[in-house]
Amino acid sequence: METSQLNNALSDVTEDQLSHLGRIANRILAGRPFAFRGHSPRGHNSGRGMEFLDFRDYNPGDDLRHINWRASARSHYPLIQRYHEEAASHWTICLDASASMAIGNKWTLAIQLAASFSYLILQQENQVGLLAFNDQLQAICSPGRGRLQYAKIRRQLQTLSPLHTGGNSSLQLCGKSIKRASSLIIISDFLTPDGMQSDLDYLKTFTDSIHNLQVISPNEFKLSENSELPGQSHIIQDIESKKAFQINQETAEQLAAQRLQELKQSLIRYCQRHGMPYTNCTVGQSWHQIMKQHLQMFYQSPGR
Amino acid sequence: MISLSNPFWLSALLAIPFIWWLHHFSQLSSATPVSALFLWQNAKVEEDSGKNKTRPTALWFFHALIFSLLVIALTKPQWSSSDSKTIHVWFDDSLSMSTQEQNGTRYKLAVNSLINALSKEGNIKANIHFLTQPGKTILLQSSQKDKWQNLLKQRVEEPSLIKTPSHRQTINLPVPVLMAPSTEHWLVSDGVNRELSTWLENAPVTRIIQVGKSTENRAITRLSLRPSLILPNHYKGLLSISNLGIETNKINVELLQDNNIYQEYTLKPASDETKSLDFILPQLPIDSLSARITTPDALYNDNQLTLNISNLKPVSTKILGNCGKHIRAAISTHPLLKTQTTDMSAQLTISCTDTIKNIESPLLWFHPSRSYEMITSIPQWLDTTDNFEKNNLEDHLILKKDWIGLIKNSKEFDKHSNPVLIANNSTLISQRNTSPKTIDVFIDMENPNLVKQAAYPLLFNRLIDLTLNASSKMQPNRIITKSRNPDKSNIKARTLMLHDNNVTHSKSATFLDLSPYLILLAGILILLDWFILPLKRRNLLSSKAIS
Repeated sequence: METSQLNNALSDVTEDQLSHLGRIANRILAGRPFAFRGHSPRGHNSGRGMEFLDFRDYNPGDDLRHINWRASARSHYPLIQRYHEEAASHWTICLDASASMAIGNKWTLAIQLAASFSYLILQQENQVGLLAFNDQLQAICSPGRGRLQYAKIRRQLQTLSPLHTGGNSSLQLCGKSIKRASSLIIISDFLTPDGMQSDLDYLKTFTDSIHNLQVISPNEFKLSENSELPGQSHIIQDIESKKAFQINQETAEQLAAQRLQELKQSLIRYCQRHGMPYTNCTVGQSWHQIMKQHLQMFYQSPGR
Repeated sequence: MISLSNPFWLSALLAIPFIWWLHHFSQLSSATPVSALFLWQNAKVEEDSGKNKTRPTALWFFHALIFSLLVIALTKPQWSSSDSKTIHVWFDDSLSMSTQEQNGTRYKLAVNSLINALSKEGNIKANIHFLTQPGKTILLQSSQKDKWQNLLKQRVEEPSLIKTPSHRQTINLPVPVLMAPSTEHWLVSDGVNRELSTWLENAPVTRIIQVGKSTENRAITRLSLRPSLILPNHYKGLLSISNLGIETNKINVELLQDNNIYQEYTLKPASDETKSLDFILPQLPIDSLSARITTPDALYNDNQLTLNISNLKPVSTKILGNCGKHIRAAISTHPLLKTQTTDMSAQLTISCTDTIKNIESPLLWFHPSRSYEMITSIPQWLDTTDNFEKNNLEDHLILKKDWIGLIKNSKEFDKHSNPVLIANNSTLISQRNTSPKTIDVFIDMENPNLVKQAAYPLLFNRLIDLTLNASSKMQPNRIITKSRNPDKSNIKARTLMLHDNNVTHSKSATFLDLSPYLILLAGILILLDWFILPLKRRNLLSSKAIS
């Protein structure tokens, strides 16, 4: 996929739309911030933060920069100003960059969703990072916060592209780069025989929550017309494993769609069982719509 | 008829499965990429049905045809016109070709090699020319391949010294500029003759079949015999033996009188050396004298020489009347006249009497007379004598008028006689064609001027020859000899080389090279495949399964 196409894809994700999405999110969530289970913005411990907690006496070794001179003048004792330790949650967007994502314009929608999620999370003053995976970790953008982090992630998304061929979707690789108790947003087509459920089983053991967005293209089952084979036969080849076999074109698309539906249902049941928000994303839908759909679904999810 | 110049290129056709693989690969490359193959598992065509295997399509056949055309073009196919190819074979049948090799004579080996080579040529007409027999040609046609061997055996005899006449022992090479350049010329030889190398430099010969490896040969190169001038009733002989091989070995030689061994010799000549030995042989009533080498060698044809000495046998002579002392002296000193004292029939009668009766043998008649007259003109030999060969010696047998006395009133002269020597319009010697033959001599053979001349014995000898119709073979110092050129017995072969300029235009007239046409056709098909054939048509071709 060309970089220019990706630039165009991200140019659709404007800041106006994103802030509009933020407002929508707040409205959908009834004025509550876009926070998730386990999120505690104000911890009870002092630490690095912006919100004032209290003063304490100066002890040798304290950083002189933390002395509140005005309070010290009032009390005639050097006092150290303490802040609430900020306990903003860590988020990691796991973006599937395997070759299968290159089929049917899935990648465009995937990076649009990744960009909008990162904006939304950063808007809530949380930390967000980005991991692009296929059969290896293709890109690692360490968690951060603020507008610079958004710019960093956006830049990273612009340079990313899925594999042309080969490789596979190995979600487990992301486990090594994820902080404990962080939340995951997985954007993938989940097109493995088990719908990546084994990988999800592994990740959910040390993550706080997992949001699954399955990107599927309606052109997924469209076969080319210039086959050199006689009759209704057609050769299809797995873009990742390169394995190929011949299919009967007459019934193939219907059977494949049926199989995909079964896979999707299985994944949905899995997500419901484990309290994982799941959204089906079809290429052709706008990212804006999908985000709203996911927020709404998240709000209505039983675990919330 | 189509023939291939480089048939080994046909092995490239083994690469056709590779084209099939490329097609299969091409089909794979045109396969639709999908995100997940397992989704399509239910639509997979079963392996066992065989329908999923890549079947050959018309397009594949089209590409295979193009490839095959190019491969066949590489083999340089040639179309020979319906007229068969003509090959002129120049066959060396000289004496050295009868040399015995391990597998037979060189001649047989050459015939076999030639037939094998011609059999591989396909449709041909072969004109076999024999180098020692310029007029003799044998035509071999490919339709009679099974008869070639017999045809060559029947029509041509293997060269043999005994059977082969002397003129066949030298080769006659055709003039290169007269050799038809549009046909192929082959040479079959053992390469012994040194003229061949020079000839090959200019001759348009395209192929050489060379046979023979033997080098060792000994030959009897000369056997001479003449009556001994010293020992009466004996011959003096000379024998020459040449070693034409490389090694120095002992040679056993036998001298045979009418197949009976007279004497044996052992010689050891070095390489390329000729040794001569002389011998004395008593005059016996034999017809032939032979010398032969009994040591075996590669070429046995030159191991023997035979002299026919029947002409050297003594002639029994009967003398009638009282001949003069000089005539008697001439008779007694002649080495081949043997005076007969008995009444047995003689081979020659010499008469000095007036009258003769009941003579059965040729007669030399010296007519007696008491009076002579000297001739006044130079005696002249006449050409009417058919059997009287004129050689250098006879041309110089000039008789001066001072030597010759003509017998007066010669009554025996007959108008039907043929004069042989005349002077003053008178006949000095005449020949009567009666039976037996009679030579009349009207010369005074006792003339003192004549008898002291050196020409006297020559005149007497000529009269004997004339009487016996022996054509000067009765000369007392006559040498009978038989010899052969040692070069003809040389069997050491030289390496024959083909020259490049000889092959320039040998095949052009009979063959049509088909490679350019095949390449052109393949090019057209490639253009058709890539540019002209519409994509849909290609797909149509592709979709037509060839079951």
